[in-house]
Amino acid sequence: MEPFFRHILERTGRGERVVAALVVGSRGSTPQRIGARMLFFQDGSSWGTVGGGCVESDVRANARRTLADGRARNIEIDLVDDVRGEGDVCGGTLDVLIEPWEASAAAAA
Amino acid sequence: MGGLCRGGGMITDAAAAALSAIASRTPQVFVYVAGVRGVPGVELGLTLRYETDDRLFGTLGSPALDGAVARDAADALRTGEPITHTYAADGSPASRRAAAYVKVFFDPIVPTPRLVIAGAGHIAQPLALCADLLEFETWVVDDRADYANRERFPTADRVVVDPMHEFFSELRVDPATYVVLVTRAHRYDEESLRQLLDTPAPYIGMIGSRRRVHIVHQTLLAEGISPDKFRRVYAPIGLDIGSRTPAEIALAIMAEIVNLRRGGRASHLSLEMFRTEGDTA
Repeated sequence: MEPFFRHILERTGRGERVVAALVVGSRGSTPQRIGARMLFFQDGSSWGTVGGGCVESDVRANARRTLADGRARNIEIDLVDDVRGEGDVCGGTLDVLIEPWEASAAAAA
Repeated sequence: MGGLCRGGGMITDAAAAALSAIASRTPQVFVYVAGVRGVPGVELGLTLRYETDDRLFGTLGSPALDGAVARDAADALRTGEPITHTYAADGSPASRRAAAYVKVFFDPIVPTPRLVIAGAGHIAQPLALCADLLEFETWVVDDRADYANRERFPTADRVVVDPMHEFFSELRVDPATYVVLVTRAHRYDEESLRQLLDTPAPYIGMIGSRRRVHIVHQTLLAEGISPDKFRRVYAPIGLDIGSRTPAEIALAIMAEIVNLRRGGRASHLSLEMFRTEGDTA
């Protein structure tokens, strides 16, 4: 928890926008835990994880939009079982809140 | 109070608040709107912050919603587990298929559990390792520098050389501070307990034979400490798993602490002993 907020404070202190992704809900047989979190930075790097593979690429794509426009989003990800190769939706769904963090007007001035 | 409002651009103040709460071990809950439909004035994102004693900073725009959020935030603070609830505009539970709802994510920021081990002997060593593995912040205290040192406790977060009564009189014991007394003689248990029995420590465990525990118990009762207070002390210490070696005893102690912290159903050895003693006294 501590590094999550420390990264936010560090980056926003430099005037950067930071985007946080939080797993807020899941249905079905998803291994991801509610409360999993990930940060996306303007230089393309990231911190933390919300789960592997296809989940992360979906989240990353949406985080990029939020990095660009500063708007919070909530997305629902269908978890596709890649092992079956048929695109079966059998892994359940994941609710992810994606939101921007920005420096306060006072800090930026 | 617009401290968390995105429009005001003050959002990183919330990150600073979180960091200072973590540093000061002040529990709180960050409350995010994670979904909304048909409830005007409510936007996605971090919206409220909840602290103990029903202090709610920020608003969802209606007393009914804020009341529901405060109740569920209090629960999240107790369990320490993140959770999501969905409400209708009047604060009652709603389904995500309702025409109007607010979906709220509760993210509790609770102190890292801390284990304070008094007495740096042969039980303390495996205990410190075990606590570190279980992600407890681990402190070791002893008045002997040749016992309480980095070489013997490489994983401990703090190793303190101090007389125990002095250490405990200065320690800020909070509801996430677990204490294990594995000292070398009953007088150290007694001087530690005098400082500990009035603190909010959820766990005070004391090692020792039934005879030694009995002596400590009787000594403190004779000083006028009420039997009720002594019922908080876990002695004999640890779950009954037939431990023999120091590492096995450490395991039994940590199992007892996990059982308490997670609301497990293993039965503790200690309660019977003091109930019996209290009844006959």
